[in-house]
Amino acid sequence: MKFSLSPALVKRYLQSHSWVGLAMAAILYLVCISGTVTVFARYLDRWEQPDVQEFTQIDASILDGVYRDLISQAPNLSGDVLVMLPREGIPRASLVSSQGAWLLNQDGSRGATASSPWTNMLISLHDHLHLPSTWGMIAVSITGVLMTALIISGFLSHPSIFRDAFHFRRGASARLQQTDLHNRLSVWAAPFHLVIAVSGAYFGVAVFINAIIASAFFEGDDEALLAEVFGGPPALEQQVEPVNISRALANLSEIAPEADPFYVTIEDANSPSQYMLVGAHHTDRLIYAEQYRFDQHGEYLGNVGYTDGPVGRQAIFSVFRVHFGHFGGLPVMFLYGILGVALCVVCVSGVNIWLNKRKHRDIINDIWPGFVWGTPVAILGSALISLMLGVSATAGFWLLLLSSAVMAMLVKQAGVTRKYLITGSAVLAVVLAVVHVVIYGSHAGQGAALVINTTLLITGIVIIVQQYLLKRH
Amino acid sequence: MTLIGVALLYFRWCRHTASQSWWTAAGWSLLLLAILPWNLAHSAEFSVMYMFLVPGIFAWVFVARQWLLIANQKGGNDSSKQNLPKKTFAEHQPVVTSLQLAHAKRWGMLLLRSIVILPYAGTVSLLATVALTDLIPWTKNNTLVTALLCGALVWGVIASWLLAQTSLLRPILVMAVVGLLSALYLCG
Repeated sequence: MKFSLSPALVKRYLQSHSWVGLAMAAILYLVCISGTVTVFARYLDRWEQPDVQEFTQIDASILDGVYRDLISQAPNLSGDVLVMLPREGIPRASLVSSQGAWLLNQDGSRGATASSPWTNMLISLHDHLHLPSTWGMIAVSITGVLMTALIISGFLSHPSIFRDAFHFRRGASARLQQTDLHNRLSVWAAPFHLVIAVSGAYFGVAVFINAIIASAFFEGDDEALLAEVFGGPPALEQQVEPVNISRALANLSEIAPEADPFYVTIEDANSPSQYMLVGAHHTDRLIYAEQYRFDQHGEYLGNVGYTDGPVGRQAIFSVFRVHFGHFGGLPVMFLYGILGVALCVVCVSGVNIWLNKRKHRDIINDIWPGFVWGTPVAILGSALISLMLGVSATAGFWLLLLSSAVMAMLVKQAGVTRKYLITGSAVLAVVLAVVHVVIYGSHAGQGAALVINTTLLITGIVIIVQQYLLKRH
Repeated sequence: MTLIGVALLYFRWCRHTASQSWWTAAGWSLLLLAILPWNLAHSAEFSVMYMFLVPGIFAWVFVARQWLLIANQKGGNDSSKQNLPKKTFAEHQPVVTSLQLAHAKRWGMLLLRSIVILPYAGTVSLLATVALTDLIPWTKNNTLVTALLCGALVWGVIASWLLAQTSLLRPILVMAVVGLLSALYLCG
C-alpha cells in the first residue's frame, strides 16, 4: 500500500508520533497493562474471595425474601438496589445497596461482605488512574484520544509499514529488533488498538460531548439527553410495597424466553416511583444487556430497546463488551489478553526505540526499565500485601512502583534492573499462590482460584528456571 | 479462510512478482469473506469483530516463519557475528549525568504546545462532530450516538494533524473557523 505524503510531512508526523508517544508512554502503559489484567476481573474477583458459596442457579422466590430482609433491616432505604444473579464466569449472587454489599448464599441468606480490594484497585487504575473519579476518567479518556492520534500519526509517518508487514529481522541491532517488534505489532493489531482507543476514550469524552449536545438540542437538560440516548425511566406513582422479583422473572421467561437474566435493579427503591430493571444477556449480541422494566408487582412495562430499539441505542450499549472483550466467552477473553499484552509491548518498544536511537543517557534511561518491569512487581506485590496484611492495595501498588523506579536509578544498568525485577515478579507470583493456599486452604484449589494459583505457580517457576538454571547450563 | 487469506498475503509478500499480484487481491478478499462463516456460526455483530481481530493473530505464524528463515540464513552465513551481544541503550556512553533530563527545555516546550493544542482540538472537533452528525438524515438517537462514538476519533485525527504542524497559525485559524461555524449552527 502506497502513501503519497511528502517526505517533509512524513518527517513531521514521525516527530509528533515520537514525542506524543514519549510524553504519554508511562500513563498509556499503566492503562494498557491494568486493562489487560482487568479483562479477567471476574475471575480475579473470585480468586480474591474464594471462600464463598458458588452456584449456577438461585430460586427466584428466594430473591423476594432477600429484598424483604433488606427493607425490614433498613426501613428508610433509598437509592438503587442491585441483585446480581449467578451467570457465566461468575457463579455467585450478590446484593448491593446503600446499606452495603454482600455475597448471597444459595438459600438467600447473606454471606460475607463483598470485598475484592485488589481487583478494584486494578479496575480503578484502568478507569481513572486512582485519581478522583470524574477527573481521572477524563484523563484516561484523553489518553484514548492521544492513542488514536498515535495510531494515525504512526501509520502516516511510516509509509512502508504495510509493505514490511511480515518483516522481522533477527540478529539485527537492538534498535532494529525493537523497531520491527513495534511496527509489526502495530500493523497487525491496528483494528484492536483503534477499537480500544476509541471505545476507551468514549467514556470520558462523553462528559464533554453530552454537555454540547444537551445545550444544543435539549436546553441544557442532561436527563432528557440520557433518556433519548439510553431510554428514559417509566413515570410511576404507586403505594410503596416490597418489589416482587420472582413475579418479574417469571413474566420475563414468558415474554422473552431467549433472555438470560443476570441482574435485577430496583430503581429508586422504597419510593412511589420504584420499578425493576431486569438485565438479561442475549446470545451472540454485543450489548451489555437488554433491560426489561417491571413495576413493583412484577408487571411488565416494556423493554428499553437495546435489542430491538434504534441502532444507535444498541451500539452505545455494546461499547462496554467491545472494550473489555466480554463477548464470545473465554476464547475472546484470551484473545483480548494476548492483544492487550501486545499493546503494552508496542508502548514499551516505542520508548526503547527512542532510547536506543539517542547518543546520550539521562535519567529516563534508568527509570524506564524500572517503571516497565516494576509494574508487574507492583501488581503482584500489592495483591500479596492486600491478601496478607489487609493493607490498601492502592498504596501498596504505588509504593512498590516507586521503589522499583528508585532501585533502577541506583542500579543504573537496564539489563540488571530488568533481571532483578523479572525475578522479583516471578518470586512474587509463586509466593502469592502459596500464601493464597495457606490462607484459604481447600478453597484455593477450586474453580477460578485453582486456575489462577496454578497459572501463578507455573509462570513463576518457568521464569525462574529460564532466568537462572537454563542460562547457567 | 482467514488463515488462508493471511497465508496468501504472506507468500505474495515473500515473492514480490507481478504474476502473483492476484494473490494480494485474493488474500484480502478471503479476509473479508471470512465474515460469512463467522456469521453462520455466530451473528453479524460477532463476525465483524472476529473479521478484524483474528487476522492479526494468524499473521504472527508467518512473521515467526520469516524470523526463523532469516535466522537460519544468518546462522549459515555468519554465526559468529550473530552470537555477539547486541548493543543496547544501557551501554551507550553517558553525555549528561544520569540524574539530569537531557533537553529539558525542549521537553517543556513540547509539553506546553500539546497542553494548548489538545483542548483546542478537542473543543473544535467535538463541536464539529455534533454539528456534522446532526446534518445526517437519521433519527435523533442515531445521530447523537454517532456523535458520541465518533467524537473521540475526530479529536484524535485533528490532534495528530495539529501536532504535526511546524507553523500553527494557519491550522489554528482554519480550526477556529470550523469551530465557529459549528457553534453557530448548533446555537442557531
